Amino acid sequence: MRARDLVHNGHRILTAPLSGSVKPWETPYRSIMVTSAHDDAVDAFSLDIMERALAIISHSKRSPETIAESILHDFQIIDLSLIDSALPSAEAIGVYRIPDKETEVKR
Amino acid sequence: MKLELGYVDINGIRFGDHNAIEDRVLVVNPDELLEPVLADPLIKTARFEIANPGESIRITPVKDVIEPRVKVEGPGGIFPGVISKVDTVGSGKTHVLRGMAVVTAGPIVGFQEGIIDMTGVGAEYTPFSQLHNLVLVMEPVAGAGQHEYEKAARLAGLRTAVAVGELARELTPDETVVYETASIADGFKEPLSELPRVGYVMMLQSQGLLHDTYVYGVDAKRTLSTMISPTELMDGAIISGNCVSACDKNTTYHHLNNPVIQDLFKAHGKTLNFVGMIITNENVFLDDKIRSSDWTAKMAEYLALDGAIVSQEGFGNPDTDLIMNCTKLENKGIKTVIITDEYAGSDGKSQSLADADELANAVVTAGNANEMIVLPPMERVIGTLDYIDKIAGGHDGSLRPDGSIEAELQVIIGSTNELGFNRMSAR
Repeated sequence: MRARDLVHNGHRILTAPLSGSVKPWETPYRSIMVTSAHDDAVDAFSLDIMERALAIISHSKRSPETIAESILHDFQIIDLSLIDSALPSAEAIGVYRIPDKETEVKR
Repeated sequence: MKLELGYVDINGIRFGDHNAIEDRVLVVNPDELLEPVLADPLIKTARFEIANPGESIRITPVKDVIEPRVKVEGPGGIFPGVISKVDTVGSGKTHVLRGMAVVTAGPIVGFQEGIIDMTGVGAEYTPFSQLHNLVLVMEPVAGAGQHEYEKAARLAGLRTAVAVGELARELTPDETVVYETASIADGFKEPLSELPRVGYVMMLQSQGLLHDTYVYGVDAKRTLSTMISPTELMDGAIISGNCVSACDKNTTYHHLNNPVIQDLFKAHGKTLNFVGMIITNENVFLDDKIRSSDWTAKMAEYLALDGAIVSQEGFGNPDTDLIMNCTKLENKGIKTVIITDEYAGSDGKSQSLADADELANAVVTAGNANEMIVLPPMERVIGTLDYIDKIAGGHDGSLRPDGSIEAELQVIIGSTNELGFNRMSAR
């Protein structure tokens, strides 16, 4: 919902909202990358893909109410990996900069 | 490119004090075959179990299914760039251990899925119930990272399959089939020039951990759409790193035995000219989807295709790639058929795909993954039932006290496979 609101404020969706084969009702985590800069106009493609995704999620069944801590951790790892896989492409179009390794080591 | 596949039939597996194929029975010395597997510091335990067709056995959670093969003539080795040195495969002669598979099982993450039932109603839905399975059950050491352990388990399965395949090197095959692709130039000469030019576009999962596919060892997400000879797949040029979405992921076995390729070869020179094959990824980043589908359509146009078959892998956002591929091909005047599966709700009434377009007007479905099934209890479980309530399509209470399972069809390995390598059909 927050991603859709951002689209309405002129941000563009960069990653597929239904990424991964973990089903929408299974995982409580779903990261979506959007542009930090925004235009005045709403991006039609972003809006369309968000609406389609939300329609699928709203029609899907309810998530289990309790999920063990260790499984939540695994869902987080998968969600992180999916969004991580988009970083090189995001860097290529200049919307993200992958920190260089030297800086990371110094920290 | 010309490849001869020599099928060596395997009618059983037994444990022994040596490794060999004797009278069509695979004899396995577990200690010897497990040595390289257990040499990996991330693998805490590993053992083999045998599951034969018709036995009351449930294997779960399944990671990959691999058919053992060995390259006996021609360049390269099986699984090039991963197990064998990088070299172009797909020509010469390869022996196939037909009727068996190496199955890797055991936990990778806490919501792991994938069931193979060797008998009962579940067995009807998976092609792997018909094989003699050498099941490699593994467990990670405490604290092993999911990425690293997935890789360790993936390589352990492939190494085991290659070691088993090697046992068939000197054997005489029970059946030999030759697969040959024509050059582009030959395709424009008679008799092929009289036939419609048809290509195969194969989509590969490439979204991240447990959703990855490797081509000659290269992670498919960092590739542009490219051409590959269909015979290269028969030597293991494409391997599976997928552990999610049991019903419609392509295991390595599927890649080796792709039925779309088999059927196109059968029709080649008769009703169509099978021009070639394009592989394209399914990435998370939207610009990648646009770029990859652009390249697919562009390459199909270069090949002067009249028609294309597109097979999908997985569900959800790959539907976007599927529709992009289809519409861009159609807009270039290439008649396109897509193969997919459906998530249409347990009653089959909901919209089947997450994306659609009126140009996607020729669809082959591999079944509805949301269909509910009840799997009867089995006498023996290989692996663990700990994850049944957590797997895709399972839910709290899926596993009943008597050991039976009520879940969606998607829990079963290969049940709605989008290459059509499944047992669901309509006539």
